[in-house]
Amino acid sequence: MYGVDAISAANGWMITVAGISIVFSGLLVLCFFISNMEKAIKLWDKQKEKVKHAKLKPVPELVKSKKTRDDKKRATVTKVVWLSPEQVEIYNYYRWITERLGEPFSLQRLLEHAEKRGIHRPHYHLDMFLQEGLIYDAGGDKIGFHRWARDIRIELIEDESGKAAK
Amino acid sequence: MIDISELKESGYFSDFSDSDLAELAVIGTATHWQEGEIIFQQGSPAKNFFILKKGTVLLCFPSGRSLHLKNGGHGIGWSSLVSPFRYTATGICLTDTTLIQFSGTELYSLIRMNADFGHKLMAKIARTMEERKKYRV
Repeated sequence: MYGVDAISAANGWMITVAGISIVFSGLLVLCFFISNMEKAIKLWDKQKEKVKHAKLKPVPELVKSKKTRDDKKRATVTKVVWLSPEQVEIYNYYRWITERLGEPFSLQRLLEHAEKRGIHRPHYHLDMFLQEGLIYDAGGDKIGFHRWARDIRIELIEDESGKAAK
Repeated sequence: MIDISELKESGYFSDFSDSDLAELAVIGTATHWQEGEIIFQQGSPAKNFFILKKGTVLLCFPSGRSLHLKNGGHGIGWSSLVSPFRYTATGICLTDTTLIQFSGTELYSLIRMNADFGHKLMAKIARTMEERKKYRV
């Protein structure tokens, strides 16, 4: 038996239809996955931002050191600093670096590490953190070394029309 | 050459006479630096003295300490007037910065010609040195 008869006898048509269905179903699934990938990535990013934002409140105490009179005075004052998502990311990166350097830390060493790790505009961001009071001079015999302010709360700027940030 | 008003605005030479400022204005140059640029390296020959006009400069000392200087009136690079004429810190621009630059040699010529001016300038330099001494140790 040859040709169409042989195909029919061996259930060839059914196998062909099944094969085509499987391939096209696979393609449909793939198509659906690719078309929704952008939405999935956006959702992922949003979740990541939420987690990061949640982590920032309150700022964790990195170094448990004896509280000086100056620290106690600072702890009573609370200030809110508004940062863009990029600035928050760099802030977290800087905190991560200084966690390894230990407090009080050297700004020069912090800059070196930031540059080595390819942080975007390390000098500008360091200046911004200093100007906003997020980083302050340790004073006393540690003058010229710096600490993170613990009484400042970081808030994330959600949209472009919010608090301006460069 | 710069305008006398620029020197007056800077605040560093506030107690200097107009004739002193006129002489300083002749040898002063406004220089513009970009964010992240190094003005001078610690240990390098100190050839220039600067007055911070606009921007932010971080002075990094070999001790690991650093001094954050912002907006106006700060004298930077006193080593250009004091032996052994080598910078004691590294000056880094944290933002785009404008500095008024004076050649150490030209400042010395002014000091030699005008004793009163020299006395006032060196008193200022001594004060700056004293203020920053604690950062060097």
